Amino acid sequence: MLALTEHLGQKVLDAAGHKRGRVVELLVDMSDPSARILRVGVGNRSIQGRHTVATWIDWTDIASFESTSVQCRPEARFVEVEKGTRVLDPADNFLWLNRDVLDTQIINPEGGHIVRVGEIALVRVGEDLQVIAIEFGAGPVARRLGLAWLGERLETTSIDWHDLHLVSGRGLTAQLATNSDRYRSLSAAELAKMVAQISPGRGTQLLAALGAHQAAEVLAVSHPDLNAGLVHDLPHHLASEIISEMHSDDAVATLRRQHSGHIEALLANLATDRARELRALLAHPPTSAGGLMTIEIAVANAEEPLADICERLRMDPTKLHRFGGVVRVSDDRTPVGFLSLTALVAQSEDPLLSPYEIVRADTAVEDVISLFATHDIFAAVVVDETGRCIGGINIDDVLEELVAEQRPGRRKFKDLVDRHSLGGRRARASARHP
Amino acid sequence: MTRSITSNSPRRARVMVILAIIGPGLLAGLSDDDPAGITTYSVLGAKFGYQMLWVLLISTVALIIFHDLGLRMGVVTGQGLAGLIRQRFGVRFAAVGISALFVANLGTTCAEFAGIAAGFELLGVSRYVSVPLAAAAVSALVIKGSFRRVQHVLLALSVVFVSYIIAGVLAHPDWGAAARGVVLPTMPLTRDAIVLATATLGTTLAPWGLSFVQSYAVDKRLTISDLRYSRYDVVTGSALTALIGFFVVVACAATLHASGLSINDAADAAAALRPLAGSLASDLFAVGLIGSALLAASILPLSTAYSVSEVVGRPAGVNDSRSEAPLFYGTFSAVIVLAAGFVLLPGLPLVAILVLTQVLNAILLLPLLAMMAGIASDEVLMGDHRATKPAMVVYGVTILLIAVSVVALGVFSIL
Repeated sequence: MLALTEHLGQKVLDAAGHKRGRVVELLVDMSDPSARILRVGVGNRSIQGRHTVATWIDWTDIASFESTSVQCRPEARFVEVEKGTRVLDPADNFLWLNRDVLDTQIINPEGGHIVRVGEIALVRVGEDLQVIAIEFGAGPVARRLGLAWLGERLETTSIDWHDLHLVSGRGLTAQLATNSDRYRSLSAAELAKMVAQISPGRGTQLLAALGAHQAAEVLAVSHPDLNAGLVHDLPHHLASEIISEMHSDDAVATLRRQHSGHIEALLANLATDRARELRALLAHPPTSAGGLMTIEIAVANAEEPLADICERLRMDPTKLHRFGGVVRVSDDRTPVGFLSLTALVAQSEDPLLSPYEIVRADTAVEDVISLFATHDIFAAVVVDETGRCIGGINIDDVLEELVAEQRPGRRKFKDLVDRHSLGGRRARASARHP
Repeated sequence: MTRSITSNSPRRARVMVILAIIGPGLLAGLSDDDPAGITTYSVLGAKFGYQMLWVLLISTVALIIFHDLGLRMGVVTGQGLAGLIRQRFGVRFAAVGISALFVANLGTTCAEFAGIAAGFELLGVSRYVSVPLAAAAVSALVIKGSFRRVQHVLLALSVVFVSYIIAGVLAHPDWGAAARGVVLPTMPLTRDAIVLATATLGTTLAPWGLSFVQSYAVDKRLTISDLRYSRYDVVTGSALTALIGFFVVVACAATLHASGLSINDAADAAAALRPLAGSLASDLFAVGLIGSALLAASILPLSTAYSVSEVVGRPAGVNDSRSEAPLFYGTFSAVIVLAAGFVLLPGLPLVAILVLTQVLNAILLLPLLAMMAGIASDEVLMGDHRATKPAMVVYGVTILLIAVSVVALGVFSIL
């Protein structure tokens, strides 16, 4: 196995033995699954010119690639880089290993934190040179500083090249352009953690590449403050598509953090009914029960037999996901009862199995929390000023509010995400969007 | 970035956006008015009266230019300065730079704790009480607090700088002479004048301030669309820094210079003000000294922790927990404990340490500014936001000016 940094700076000799410069780059095509080195960049290494390539040589023109020198074949063609050529061509799929990968930021699959690439491991396969892995940690850094003895004792972690998630500017762009499936295959929780750590600009780039549906799933498990910044910076049409895919309460939490002009611009792109629903929710102050409730609740007519309700929910269990129960309402939508999950499983209408309270939408959040604490309930039905059922609050909403109050500014429930990988939420999301 | 800005009025919404993004420029700017800075301004006023106030204007322009650049680099790349140096210039440059920065920041933090000790001693409190308490308070704030809480406390702490303004007014300065001193660039061509002019420039633009403003902008998760408003933050921070410096110079010019008294540091200035401008002015000066030292003693270890974590490639954020970012919090704590410990050690040559720190800061500043300019013009890192040619000329001229000043300082310090 070869280490990239041991070859950077080595002399490049032509067939006559004349020095043509030093190795400053190796080029790889991101869309090539075997990650073969295609070209060697030759230049003069200097402070300003760390990434400056004066000429390129095709890998097939290299006769030997050693850590002491690089020897070219007699027929080798040195392709000069014209002055004034754009350093970045957004259309190309090529990564410069020194410029775009070494010392840049990636995501460590173990724990999902951002780390920096300390070394790039290469391997010879026949005539080819292929990238197989990257290393990070204090070990490779010490080795590059000439402290090999220390490097051997310090932590070194390797990631297979095919498991790499680049998050620095050029790397992310190239990887999203050629292999966005690598990001799409991550769970919503993993992506949310990634988005929370990278710059907002890269975050919006990633969300845009994921598409509205998966982006909405990511935002569902991210902090609303973080979502607000991302949604603000996304193009309006894409932001609206994502808002449209989000659950109403998540969408409202995100919209509440935008200024009024931007809210209107986003809502203008939504279907009329959806926009009206979100406007109605936004009308409730965030510190009220109306601001805390979900409107995605399952309701049943007061007369509907319990068995029919259970059968209906069996056909479409997603109705239970947001609220965890069924509200029985009269014809004018006045709540007349509640069926908890326990009651539904037991197929019993015993009120002891389904404790609940009714609160008006303008009730203060603090009072709602007190109600849950003092009455040992798991759900409250929210009504408007005429007594009509307009939504519900469950214990999960109350817990979120309490955690957010206790840990202001913390990235939302990140610890919980780490510990539990948000399995429940993921299951909900995938069930909702099979 | 954290915001909650629903508003019906576009103007009100704009104001709320500015309030939401404010922080990096303001804190980085104000923390430059630390005890070392206040000492420089005090000596400037005591020795040369109002004559050299124009130097503050020049240093403010330099501060705006480079703090704005740092903030922009952080927002565009999502990385702190130390991390970008590793990515752009390689691990060796980053390792040498971060080692020097760590030592310089540790020395400067010693100066901040020494300022806290001196300020409290003026109010009759022993340093063996004030320094450990200050170290514990600063540690608790950052380790236990969220980003939002830390910022709120630091911004609240900044209010203490008003005391310098009041002290300046209480000194009954000659406002006409002060105004002339700001707009008419004259100076005696003496060694002391050149050294002080250079020191004023150097105390305003510090390596740790540059790395802090960038890392803090990253931690605050400012976005590209925030950039146009973040300029207000940088300009406000820099202008307030200059305003405070102005009032310190004015206070000392109206009293110490007029009476022909000389001083060695800010604590001397506070003590000397008592018979000349009254005990209130003197106490306010001491309170300002303590507050400014506390602010800088919070920001310096933070700046160091951000830089070390970025170079090593570890999580660095005030919102991260200790288990998530052990290197960040470990570095932060190490700087606080070492600096506070050094200040309390009897017989330690603190003055020599502080002088060496200033030298190290001066040595670090120039390559740091040059690297910032190099990164700013890098298309790979900055994309469409890379510095334009006119901007590069401005950076180049500013760096040249600072280089001349640093060299002059070196030459005149030796002579």
